[in-house]
Amino acid sequence: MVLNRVPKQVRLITLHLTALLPLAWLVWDVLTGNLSLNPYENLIRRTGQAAVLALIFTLSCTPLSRWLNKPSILVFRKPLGLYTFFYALLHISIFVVMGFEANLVTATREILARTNLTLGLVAFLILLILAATSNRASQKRLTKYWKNLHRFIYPAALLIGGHYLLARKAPTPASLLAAAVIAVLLLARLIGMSRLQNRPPHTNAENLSQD
Amino acid sequence: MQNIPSSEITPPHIYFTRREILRKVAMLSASAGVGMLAACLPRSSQTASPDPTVSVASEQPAVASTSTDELGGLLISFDDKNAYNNYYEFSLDKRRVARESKDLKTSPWVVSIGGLVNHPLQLDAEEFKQRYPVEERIYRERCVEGYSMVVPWNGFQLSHLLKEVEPTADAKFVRFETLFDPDQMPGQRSPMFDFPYVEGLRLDEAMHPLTILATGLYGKDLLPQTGAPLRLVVPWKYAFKSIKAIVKIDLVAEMPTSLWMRAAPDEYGFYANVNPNVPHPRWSQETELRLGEGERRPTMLFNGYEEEVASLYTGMDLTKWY
Repeated sequence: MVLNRVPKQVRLITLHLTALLPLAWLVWDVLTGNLSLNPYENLIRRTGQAAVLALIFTLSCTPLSRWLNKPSILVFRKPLGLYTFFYALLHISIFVVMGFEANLVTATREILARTNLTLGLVAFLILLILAATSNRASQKRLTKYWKNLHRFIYPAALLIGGHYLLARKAPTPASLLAAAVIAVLLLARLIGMSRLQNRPPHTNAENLSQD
Repeated sequence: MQNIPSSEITPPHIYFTRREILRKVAMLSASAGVGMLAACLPRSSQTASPDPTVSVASEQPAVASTSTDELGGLLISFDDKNAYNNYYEFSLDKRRVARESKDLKTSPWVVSIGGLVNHPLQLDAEEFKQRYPVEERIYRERCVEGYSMVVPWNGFQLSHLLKEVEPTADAKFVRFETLFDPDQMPGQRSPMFDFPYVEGLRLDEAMHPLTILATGLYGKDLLPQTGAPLRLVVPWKYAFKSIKAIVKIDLVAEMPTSLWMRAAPDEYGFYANVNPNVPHPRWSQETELRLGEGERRPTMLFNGYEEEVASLYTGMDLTKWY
């Protein structure tokens, strides 16, 4: 209710400022040289965590809007999805540039040789396609296929959860928590889907917010 | 190949430190309590620690006899080495280990050496330094996670200790164990691992002159985050083999199962020799990021100690015995 009274522009600006906080923090630490003794590891970890966080918020929009009966929440979904892609892009760019001196051949070879990296790359390619087709024009061009295409965020989320769990010698509390939250959010879809089948077809909660 | 027996080759750590003998003598006398000379020694160009709680105030100056290893790799600074640590008993965050470990009580600290030996021994950590010749060893350290550094340890050859306890004929391996004290080491409560940390070496690996028990770093006593008061350093193996805060050393007949072997048997074998040709499922082992320099460099077989240790593994398939 409170949220509904706040103008959409203000809500979106707040969202952008919040979503850019990890980036601002990162840039600050780069400028002040506070990236630990192993800047590569530091940057990889933090951009990856920012992407996972953005993904979790993206996946939370639909269940939250339904649960709280607040369609206004859905306005955050697309920008949050794009921030997920943005942080994932930073993450993989740092991997290629700092980890492999921008050598795409050796970086690709390395990715294909390691399960956890392969999971991450496939997830990134999905995010790339979803980001590229996130505009209104693509939505119109792809008509009914658009929705099916964008449901690929679910397998991407599974891959990202696995990628995070496998990132270190053993799962960390943070990666376990993230994977659990992702699992709950995906399960919420399954439950939602079985409910949808018993409902009249006019519900539009899965559609991109048009307001 | 070469006909010179390896015992006649001057080990690189001696070869490259010989010019600094005088300075080393000064260091040794300083640690023996003579102290006066130490005051005259130049302090290394370390910067002040950003977190005052991390460095422990100490009279010992942080000095190393050289600024590089024998291959020209720059030593990691005293402060850097003490601010970035892989030590799951305290934290999974390498930058938090120093803070989380600073209250570890390292004295008194009894270490039991037993198992298949003729003369079992119990020593306080302090006694090792008087009992065995502590010397400086400039070693490369290679983490399985893909980074590396050059570290000036102070320690003594494990072989001195092993000779004193006299392994019996049945003893084939050495098993090391870290302190188990979840109150002091909260990470040991993690359900992910079977603490205490356990590591092992084959007896001939343990007797090798490069294998040391370290008591210090840069001429100062170890701080808790680097494994105080006593830790193993085996420079040709991935650094997780170099177990910290040792309380127990047992000679055993069977190959010990280390914590990492138990946690992920297909990723961590018993040997864990640095080997760029044996890939790890999570990290490439072909190159490494040298901390302090920030350059990525090719990883060397046995971490560059091939000449000294390759003979330990003659005829072994290193891909199988990873």
